[in-house]
Amino acid sequence: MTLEQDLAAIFRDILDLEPAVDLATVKYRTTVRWDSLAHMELITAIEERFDIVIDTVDIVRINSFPTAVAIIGGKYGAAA
Amino acid sequence: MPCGFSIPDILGRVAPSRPAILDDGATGWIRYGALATRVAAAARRLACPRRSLVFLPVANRVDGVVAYLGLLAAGHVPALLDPALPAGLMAALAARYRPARLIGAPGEERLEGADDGPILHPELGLLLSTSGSTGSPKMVRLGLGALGHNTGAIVEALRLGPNDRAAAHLPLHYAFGLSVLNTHLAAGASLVLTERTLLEQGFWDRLRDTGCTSLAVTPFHMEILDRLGLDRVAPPTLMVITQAGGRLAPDRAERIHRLMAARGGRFYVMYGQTEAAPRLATLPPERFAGHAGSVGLPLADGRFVILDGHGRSLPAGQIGQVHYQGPNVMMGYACGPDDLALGDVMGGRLPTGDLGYLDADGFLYLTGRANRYAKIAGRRISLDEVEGMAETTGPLAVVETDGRLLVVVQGGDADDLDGLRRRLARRLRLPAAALRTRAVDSLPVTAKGKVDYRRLAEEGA
Repeated sequence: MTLEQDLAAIFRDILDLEPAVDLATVKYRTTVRWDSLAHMELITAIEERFDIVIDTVDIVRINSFPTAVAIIGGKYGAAA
Repeated sequence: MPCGFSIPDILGRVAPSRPAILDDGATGWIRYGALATRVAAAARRLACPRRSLVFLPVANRVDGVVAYLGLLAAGHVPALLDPALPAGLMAALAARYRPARLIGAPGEERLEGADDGPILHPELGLLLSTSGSTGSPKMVRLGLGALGHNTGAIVEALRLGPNDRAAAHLPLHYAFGLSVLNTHLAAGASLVLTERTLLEQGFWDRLRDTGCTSLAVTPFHMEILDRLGLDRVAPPTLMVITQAGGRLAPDRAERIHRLMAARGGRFYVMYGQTEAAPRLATLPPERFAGHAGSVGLPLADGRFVILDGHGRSLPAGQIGQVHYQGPNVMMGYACGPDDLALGDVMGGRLPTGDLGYLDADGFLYLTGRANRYAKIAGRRISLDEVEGMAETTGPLAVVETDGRLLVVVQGGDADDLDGLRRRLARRLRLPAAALRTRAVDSLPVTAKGKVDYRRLAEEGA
């Protein structure tokens, strides 16, 4: 699995998304199931999966799937 | 302590040039003079010969605040509601309560259908929901006297003044959020209304750019602040944090107290419920040491009594049911339109539904809940109602642990449980992460044969 696929699985699970939902469209707060509580769980799940600790600045910056991929892959050098 | 709650008086006693409110869309401050003018205009537009019940779905925006204040100034009784309430639930509520309808664009609202609404008791000031998540139509009837008294008591307890500036993120349809608005206006202070959350960069940028001094939070927000790191995100102007809306873990309270003290600020633990208009007690920072875990002393003119199961008063140190007496207690509940004509049925006495004890100095410590309500991400949810919603083949129990719901199913299998978790989450409009599940061979029971909820909650933590 690539990093993107890994993250996609986490997003779909935590946000309880229907299979037809396009991950490119989900946004924090706009997407009903991505509220603050879900966001905290999402961050925790990503940290546990990749064994990283996500910085405060990134917690408040990750608000879409593409930003998550860019930040987790980039700054944290996470690989699947 | 003043009673009554006069909007024109509250707005009129502040110098017109003082800043009052700002929202995410506003380009500049709405000052007290301009706010008073807008509210007076709204009151004139909304005036009717007959006092009316009016549903007000309200967002954290200037036009929502003007509508709320305008309705009060016009003498009507607003029921403040969550604008995200599903249409079906809203329609059912309206069919039941028959409110007058607010029509027209923001800033130009009028009332329609004011003639055939329910009869309203003259002391009734406003209505707040107890729990919208399960579609319950139960509302809390708050008198103007109770609101006015509590507003003054909070201003006094927190030492709020005209230079305070609230980061007003808590929803206005939530009693705690509404009290932030009422108290800051009463103090001649200012509010930065926002719909952003603590998990957004834009929220903290806004706080910094506007120089907010105070932030009200629930235990869930504290979890977020712990995770983000208060000193990483809070601007130097942030000097007051108040926490209510549920029990805060003592170690978290200690951490925030220390961090706020280190920056010369103040952290207030508070205790309240919608039924108390809404705040009951506070632990101020100067009394924090030696009382960690306490929610403090009652606000002005209030007092706590601890009762046993037979209604007898218990001495200090003994755990029992926490009852409160004070001028801020609700008039009672409403389940339908006829209840709005009722007067005060509580007589200033409120069984809080919480368990706890008083120490020798009268400081209140909460130890648990006597009733079956949970606070999940700041929302009040009836655990018994959640049990009722879950369709399972075996017996189940729902408890709250650590700010999440725990559904314990007797004889459940993993796949069933995951499906159940997601279905319940959707029905409750909670994220799936707010629910956890567990399968057990058999549910623990008490000596009387009832489900041992306390044990389940302890085991689940």
